[in-house]
Amino acid sequence: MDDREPTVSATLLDADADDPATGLRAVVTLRRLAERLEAEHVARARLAGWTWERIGDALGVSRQAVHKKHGRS
Amino acid sequence: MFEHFSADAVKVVHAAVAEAQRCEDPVISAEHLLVGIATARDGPRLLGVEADDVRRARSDRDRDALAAVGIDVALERHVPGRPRRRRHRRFTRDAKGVLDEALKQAIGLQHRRIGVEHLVLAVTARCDDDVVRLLDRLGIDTDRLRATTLDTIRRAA
Repeated sequence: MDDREPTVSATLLDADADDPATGLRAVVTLRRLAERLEAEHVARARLAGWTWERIGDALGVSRQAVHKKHGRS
Repeated sequence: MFEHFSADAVKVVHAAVAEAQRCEDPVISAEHLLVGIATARDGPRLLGVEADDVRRARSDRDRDALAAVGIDVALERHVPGRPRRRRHRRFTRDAKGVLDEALKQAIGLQHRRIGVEHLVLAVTARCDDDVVRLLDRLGIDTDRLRATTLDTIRRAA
Protein backbone atom coordinates (compact mmCIF):
# COMPACT_ATOMS: atom_id res chain seq x y z
CA MET A 1 0.00 0.00 0.00
CA ASP A 2 1.16 3.45 -0.83
CA ASP A 3 0.21 5.66 2.07
CA ARG A 4 1.88 8.88 1.01
CA GLU A 5 -0.21 11.99 0.87
CA PRO A 6 -2.00 12.23 -2.44
CA THR A 7 -0.10 14.62 -4.65
CA VAL A 8 -1.62 17.25 -6.84
CA SER A 9 -0.51 16.69 -10.38
CA ALA A 10 1.70 19.25 -12.05
CA THR A 11 -1.13 20.04 -14.46
CA LEU A 12 -3.45 20.98 -11.62
CA LEU A 13 -0.98 23.49 -10.25
CA ASP A 14 0.58 25.16 -13.24
CA ALA A 15 -2.11 25.02 -15.87
CA ASP A 16 -3.13 28.41 -17.12
CA ALA A 17 -1.18 30.21 -14.43
CA ASP A 18 -1.49 33.29 -16.59
CA ASP A 19 -5.27 33.21 -16.39
CA PRO A 20 -6.65 33.37 -12.85
CA ALA A 21 -10.21 33.44 -14.21
CA THR A 22 -9.85 29.94 -15.65
CA GLY A 23 -8.22 28.54 -12.51
CA LEU A 24 -10.83 30.05 -10.19
CA ARG A 25 -13.63 28.93 -12.48
CA ALA A 26 -12.27 25.39 -12.24
CA VAL A 27 -12.26 25.65 -8.42
CA VAL A 28 -15.89 26.78 -8.31
CA THR A 29 -16.96 24.08 -10.75
CA LEU A 30 -15.16 21.37 -8.79
CA ARG A 31 -16.70 22.58 -5.54
CA ARG A 32 -20.17 22.39 -7.05
CA LEU A 33 -19.49 18.90 -8.39
CA ALA A 34 -18.28 17.81 -4.95
CA GLU A 35 -21.45 19.19 -3.33
CA ARG A 36 -23.66 17.29 -5.76
CA LEU A 37 -21.68 14.10 -5.31
CA GLU A 38 -21.95 14.47 -1.55
CA ALA A 39 -25.71 15.04 -1.59
CA GLU A 40 -26.22 12.05 -3.86
CA HIS A 41 -24.10 9.63 -1.86
CA VAL A 42 -25.33 10.75 1.54
CA ALA A 43 -28.86 10.07 0.28
CA ARG A 44 -27.79 6.62 -0.91
CA ALA A 45 -26.12 5.86 2.41
CA ARG A 46 -29.31 6.86 4.26
CA LEU A 47 -31.36 4.59 1.99
CA ALA A 48 -28.91 1.80 2.76
CA GLY A 49 -29.60 2.35 6.44
CA TRP A 50 -26.40 4.14 7.46
CA THR A 51 -26.60 6.26 10.62
CA TRP A 52 -25.73 9.95 10.50
CA GLU A 53 -22.77 9.17 12.73
CA ARG A 54 -21.37 6.60 10.32
CA ILE A 55 -21.86 8.96 7.37
CA GLY A 56 -20.20 11.77 9.34
CA ASP A 57 -17.24 9.52 10.12
CA ALA A 58 -16.93 8.56 6.45
CA LEU A 59 -16.92 12.21 5.41
CA GLY A 60 -14.69 13.30 8.25
CA VAL A 61 -17.26 15.65 9.76
CA SER A 62 -19.50 15.49 12.83
CA ARG A 63 -22.81 13.66 12.91
CA GLN A 64 -24.48 17.01 13.63
CA ALA A 65 -22.84 18.71 10.68
CA VAL A 66 -23.90 16.08 8.17
CA HIS A 67 -27.42 15.92 9.61
CA LYS A 68 -27.82 19.68 9.53
CA LYS A 69 -26.71 19.81 5.91
CA HIS A 70 -28.58 16.81 4.52
CA GLY A 71 -31.15 15.97 7.17
CA ARG A 72 -34.21 17.48 5.54
CA SER A 73 -34.26 15.17 2.55
CA MET B 1 -34.28 51.00 -7.38
CA PHE B 2 -36.63 48.43 -8.90
CA GLU B 3 -39.52 50.89 -8.99
CA HIS B 4 -38.06 52.13 -12.30
CA PHE B 5 -37.95 48.63 -13.79
CA SER B 6 -40.57 47.40 -16.25
CA ALA B 7 -42.40 44.18 -15.36
CA ASP B 8 -40.26 42.26 -17.88
CA ALA B 9 -37.05 43.75 -16.48
CA VAL B 10 -38.04 42.69 -12.97
CA LYS B 11 -38.66 39.20 -14.34
CA VAL B 12 -35.12 39.20 -15.73
CA VAL B 13 -33.73 39.85 -12.25
CA HIS B 14 -35.95 37.14 -10.72
CA ALA B 15 -34.90 34.72 -13.46
CA ALA B 16 -31.25 35.50 -12.72
CA VAL B 17 -31.78 34.67 -9.05
CA ALA B 18 -33.58 31.44 -9.99
CA GLU B 19 -30.78 30.53 -12.39
CA ALA B 20 -28.10 30.92 -9.71
CA GLN B 21 -30.23 28.77 -7.43
CA ARG B 22 -30.76 26.12 -10.07
CA CYS B 23 -27.06 25.94 -10.85
CA GLU B 24 -26.16 26.09 -7.15
CA ASP B 25 -23.86 28.96 -7.95
CA PRO B 26 -22.78 30.76 -4.79
CA VAL B 27 -23.49 34.29 -6.07
CA ILE B 28 -25.69 36.01 -8.63
CA SER B 29 -23.43 37.29 -11.39
CA ALA B 30 -23.78 39.28 -14.58
CA GLU B 31 -23.86 35.91 -16.37
CA HIS B 32 -27.03 34.95 -14.54
CA LEU B 33 -28.52 38.27 -15.61
CA LEU B 34 -27.62 37.33 -19.18
CA VAL B 35 -29.51 34.04 -18.82
CA GLY B 36 -32.34 36.07 -17.28
CA ILE B 37 -32.38 38.41 -20.27
CA ALA B 38 -32.54 35.40 -22.60
CA THR B 39 -35.63 34.12 -20.74
CA ALA B 40 -37.43 37.45 -21.17
CA ARG B 41 -40.14 37.90 -23.77
CA ASP B 42 -37.95 40.06 -26.06
CA GLY B 43 -34.69 38.54 -24.86
CA PRO B 44 -33.95 35.94 -27.55
CA ARG B 45 -34.89 38.43 -30.26
CA LEU B 46 -32.51 41.05 -28.87
CA LEU B 47 -29.66 38.63 -28.16
CA GLY B 48 -30.13 36.30 -31.10
CA VAL B 49 -29.82 33.28 -28.80
CA GLU B 50 -32.08 31.35 -26.45
CA ALA B 51 -31.61 30.88 -22.69
CA ASP B 52 -30.52 27.27 -23.21
CA ASP B 53 -27.78 28.46 -25.58
CA VAL B 54 -26.41 30.70 -22.82
CA ARG B 55 -26.66 27.84 -20.32
CA ARG B 56 -24.82 25.52 -22.69
CA ALA B 57 -22.08 28.10 -23.24
CA ARG B 58 -21.62 28.45 -19.47
CA SER B 59 -21.49 24.70 -18.99
CA ASP B 60 -18.97 24.31 -21.84
CA ARG B 61 -16.88 27.09 -20.36
CA ASP B 62 -16.86 25.34 -16.95
CA ARG B 63 -15.88 22.06 -18.58
CA ASP B 64 -13.04 23.80 -20.42
CA ALA B 65 -11.85 25.41 -17.18
CA LEU B 66 -11.65 21.98 -15.56
CA ALA B 67 -9.86 20.60 -18.62
CA ALA B 68 -7.33 23.44 -18.31
CA VAL B 69 -6.34 22.14 -14.86
CA GLY B 70 -6.25 18.56 -16.10
CA ILE B 71 -9.67 17.33 -15.03
CA ASP B 72 -11.80 15.68 -17.65
CA VAL B 73 -15.43 15.22 -16.68
CA ALA B 74 -18.77 15.42 -18.40
CA LEU B 75 -20.83 18.10 -16.66
CA GLU B 76 -24.56 17.58 -16.47
CA ARG B 77 -26.41 20.35 -18.19
CA HIS B 78 -29.70 20.01 -16.47
CA VAL B 79 -29.56 18.56 -13.05
CA PRO B 80 -32.67 16.56 -12.33
CA GLY B 81 -33.80 15.46 -8.94
CA ARG B 82 -34.47 17.05 -5.64
CA PRO B 83 -35.09 20.76 -5.24
CA ARG B 84 -32.00 22.76 -4.48
CA ARG B 85 -31.49 24.32 -1.13
CA ARG B 86 -32.65 27.89 -1.06
CA ARG B 87 -30.32 30.30 0.57
CA HIS B 88 -29.60 33.94 0.33
CA ARG B 89 -27.28 34.83 -2.50
CA ARG B 90 -25.70 38.17 -2.99
CA PHE B 91 -25.27 39.92 -6.31
CA THR B 92 -21.67 40.24 -7.48
CA ARG B 93 -20.15 43.64 -8.13
CA ASP B 94 -20.49 42.99 -11.87
CA ALA B 95 -24.16 42.13 -11.56
CA LYS B 96 -24.90 45.26 -9.52
CA GLY B 97 -22.91 47.19 -12.10
CA VAL B 98 -25.17 45.93 -14.88
CA LEU B 99 -28.30 46.99 -12.95
CA ASP B 100 -26.85 50.45 -12.22
CA GLU B 101 -25.74 50.81 -15.82
CA ALA B 102 -29.23 49.88 -17.08
CA LEU B 103 -30.56 52.86 -15.16
CA LYS B 104 -27.91 55.12 -16.71
CA GLN B 105 -28.72 53.79 -20.18
CA ALA B 106 -32.41 54.53 -19.69
CA ILE B 107 -31.65 58.03 -18.41
CA GLY B 108 -29.29 58.63 -21.33
CA LEU B 109 -32.08 57.75 -23.75
CA GLN B 110 -34.55 59.81 -21.70
CA HIS B 111 -36.69 56.76 -21.08
CA ARG B 112 -38.84 56.65 -17.98
CA ARG B 113 -38.63 52.93 -17.44
CA ILE B 114 -35.83 50.39 -17.45
CA GLY B 115 -36.73 47.66 -19.89
CA VAL B 116 -35.03 44.47 -21.04
CA GLU B 117 -33.36 46.43 -23.85
CA HIS B 118 -31.64 48.72 -21.34
CA LEU B 119 -30.32 45.67 -19.53
CA VAL B 120 -28.88 44.45 -22.84
CA LEU B 121 -27.30 47.86 -23.45
CA ALA B 122 -25.90 47.78 -19.91
CA VAL B 123 -24.27 44.39 -20.54
CA THR B 124 -22.63 45.70 -23.72
CA ALA B 125 -21.56 48.97 -22.07
CA ARG B 126 -19.83 47.32 -19.14
CA CYS B 127 -17.93 44.67 -21.05
CA ASP B 128 -17.21 42.49 -18.01
CA ASP B 129 -14.54 39.93 -18.86
CA ASP B 130 -16.59 36.83 -18.06
CA VAL B 131 -19.61 38.08 -19.95
CA VAL B 132 -17.65 39.15 -23.01
CA ARG B 133 -16.01 35.73 -23.17
CA LEU B 134 -19.38 34.06 -22.82
CA LEU B 135 -20.88 36.22 -25.55
CA ASP B 136 -17.86 35.39 -27.67
CA ARG B 137 -18.60 31.67 -27.26
CA LEU B 138 -22.14 32.43 -28.42
CA GLY B 139 -20.82 34.25 -31.46
CA ILE B 140 -22.16 37.58 -30.20
CA ASP B 141 -20.08 40.69 -30.72
CA THR B 142 -20.78 43.33 -28.04
CA ASP B 143 -20.49 46.32 -30.38
CA ARG B 144 -22.85 44.73 -32.84
CA LEU B 145 -25.27 43.74 -30.09
CA ARG B 146 -25.29 47.33 -28.86
CA ALA B 147 -25.96 48.66 -32.36
CA THR B 148 -28.81 46.23 -33.09
CA THR B 149 -30.39 46.88 -29.69
CA LEU B 150 -30.32 50.65 -30.24
CA ASP B 151 -31.85 50.00 -33.65
CA THR B 152 -34.66 47.99 -32.08
CA ILE B 153 -35.31 50.80 -29.59
CA ARG B 154 -35.42 53.41 -32.34
CA ARG B 155 -37.81 51.37 -34.44
CA ALA B 156 -40.11 50.86 -31.45
CA ALA B 157 -40.16 54.59 -30.68
